[in-house]
Amino acid sequence: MAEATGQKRLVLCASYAAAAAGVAQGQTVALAQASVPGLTVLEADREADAASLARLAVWALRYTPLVAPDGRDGLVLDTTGADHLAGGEAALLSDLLTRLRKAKLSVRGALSSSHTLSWALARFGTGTDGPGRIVPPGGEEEAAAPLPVAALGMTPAQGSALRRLGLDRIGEVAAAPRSSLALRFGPDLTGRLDRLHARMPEPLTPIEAPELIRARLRLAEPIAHQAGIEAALERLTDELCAALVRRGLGVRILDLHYRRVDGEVQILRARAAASSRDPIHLRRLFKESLETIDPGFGIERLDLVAVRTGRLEARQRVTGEENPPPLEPLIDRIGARVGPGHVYRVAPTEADLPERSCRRTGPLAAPAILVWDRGPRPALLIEPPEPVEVLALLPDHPPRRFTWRGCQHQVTRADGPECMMAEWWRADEEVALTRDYYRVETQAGGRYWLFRARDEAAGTASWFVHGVFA
Amino acid sequence: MSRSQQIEALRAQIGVGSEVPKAVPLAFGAAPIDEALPGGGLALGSHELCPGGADLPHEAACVQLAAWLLGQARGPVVWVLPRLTLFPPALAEAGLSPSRVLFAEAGRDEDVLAVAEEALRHGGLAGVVCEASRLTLTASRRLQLAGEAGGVPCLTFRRWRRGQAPSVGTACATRWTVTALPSRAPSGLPRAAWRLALTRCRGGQPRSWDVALEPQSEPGTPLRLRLADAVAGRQAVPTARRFAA
Repeated sequence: MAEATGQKRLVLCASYAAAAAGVAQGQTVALAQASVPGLTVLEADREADAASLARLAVWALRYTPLVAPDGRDGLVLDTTGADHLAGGEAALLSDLLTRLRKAKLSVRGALSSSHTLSWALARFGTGTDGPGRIVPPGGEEEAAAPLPVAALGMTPAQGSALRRLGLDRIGEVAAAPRSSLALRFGPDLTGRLDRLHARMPEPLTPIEAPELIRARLRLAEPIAHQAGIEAALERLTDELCAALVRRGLGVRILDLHYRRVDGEVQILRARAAASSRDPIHLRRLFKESLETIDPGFGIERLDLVAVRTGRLEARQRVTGEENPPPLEPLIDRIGARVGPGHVYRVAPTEADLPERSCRRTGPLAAPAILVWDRGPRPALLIEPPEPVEVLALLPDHPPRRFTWRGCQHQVTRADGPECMMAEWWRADEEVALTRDYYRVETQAGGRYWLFRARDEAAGTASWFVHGVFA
Repeated sequence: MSRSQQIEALRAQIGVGSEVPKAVPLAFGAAPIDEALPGGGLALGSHELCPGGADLPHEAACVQLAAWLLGQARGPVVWVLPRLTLFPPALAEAGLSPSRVLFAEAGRDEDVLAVAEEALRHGGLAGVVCEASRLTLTASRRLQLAGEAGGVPCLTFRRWRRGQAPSVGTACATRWTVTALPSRAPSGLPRAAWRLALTRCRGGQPRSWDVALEPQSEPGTPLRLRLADAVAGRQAVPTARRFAA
């Protein structure tokens, strides 16, 4: 890979094969071509590199919300508080490296408490194929000491000046008197060392995922009370909904990031059953969770991010017909209180056995085509069926008397049997699940659903109660 | 006329934006019962259905009655319960199609009531069923007010708890005690038969009827509620009230 720098064309980057043959970064192309016959030279395209690095940065948002391109050949991820999502720091780093290597990229990585140190370790510290190095907090100086001075990221002139002084390793530089270093090389070097040892904060300008619609509110004066947070949320939802209207979108998953004065960022998430851009509705989604916010000494910034959006076109009202209010907001409000999985509809299935004849579907599922039409069914189902003691005249007759939960019931009327089978074509155990159902009425007026389960092998039958009719 | 005035005028012409929730009472379809209720059926507010005993058949009767009443109405139904114990095919049989019912499993009693209240205030439902065994006066009054505000009838199914009858010190428009009875016909198949006792009625008198839910002659048509006298082939003859002083 070559690039024109001024008058000369220099080698920017060499493949492993070329490097093994003696091509080095910074050589002139003419020299490299002369020393290695048949060398393939490609022109560097910085714009395309930057664009693909930006795409890679967006991809890396899967690990943490704070990602930035680092120079022209790296990415930096702020994994603070995000590593548990990937199963720990080691798992995060190895997952990141493995995925990139699978995509045929040669990558190196490191993870530490300092951006500068991670940068240096990734470029000078580890091998190409190995797992990334992870420096525990407090181990920065030890980890940085064996790195070459080039890892300080200085100009070549400064680097050679250091080497002339006999300082080859960062550990040696760090041990040298600080004041004379600052005098000779300027505050740049000492600042760099401090950042390397995680003694100085390093700002990061994270990229913003381009597809996310967000609203941000920075507060001049931190807020810590509920009313203030609600007012802030009101402004954010209004702003976000205006942006959603412009694009014809509605939001399904909404995140509220709030940043406290002490720098901690926390996230509240709300889900809507269907795409929505009604600010009042979106605010209600946060109603329950807003009370869980711990503002600490105050909140200084709030972001409302539309994580998942869907198309939502303006709806035409039909005049002259009834326009009942839509159900979706109600479903969301109920879901926010009892949990989204606890709001549902029930739809029929093909199965015969009563306990398998229903399935839960989503609250907005389309109506089922199947219907239950196999005869009278009890209003209450006893699940699992409870065994009963039975007195029947003949084996195939309905019972005359049965005892359930310690009470004896005299049967006055009965209807049956209705034979039901399980899916016997699926498994052998299913064959045994053949039942004869009887609808019986007792003297007291109770109507029950009893069944006889036959055990072909033993030649016996046992009785159960499975439901109660109205 | 300015543009906004024009829009206002057009709005007024078509009556959009001025809809008020209108209550369609849930009627029993049997003249003596409907006539005894102010408004000709179960209208606004909360209506309590209490099983006539601790046994499950009475509870089953309450479930079926609620499903049948709401099956007559149009629109979605929200059924709030602590845990799903009812069997949805029975609701379909009573005329309440499963596609119309939205179940909300709330677990705790407080959540059941809060969800029911939320659903009542929505205003676009045919009705709300709320399974609550414990109900305080305050909670019942909230349900009553929410039902009136949303224009939606609320059927509060008061289950027995540990063999104890539900408390009656609550605010409601009507309270019914539903008891499962033996089938009426001298012989034949088991068929739903209940005693509906109207034990409390705001603006009405307590009464009691024996009824049966019967399929109509045409298949596919909804079940019909028949008074026991009619079931037995006799006409109910109102006895003239006489007073001696």
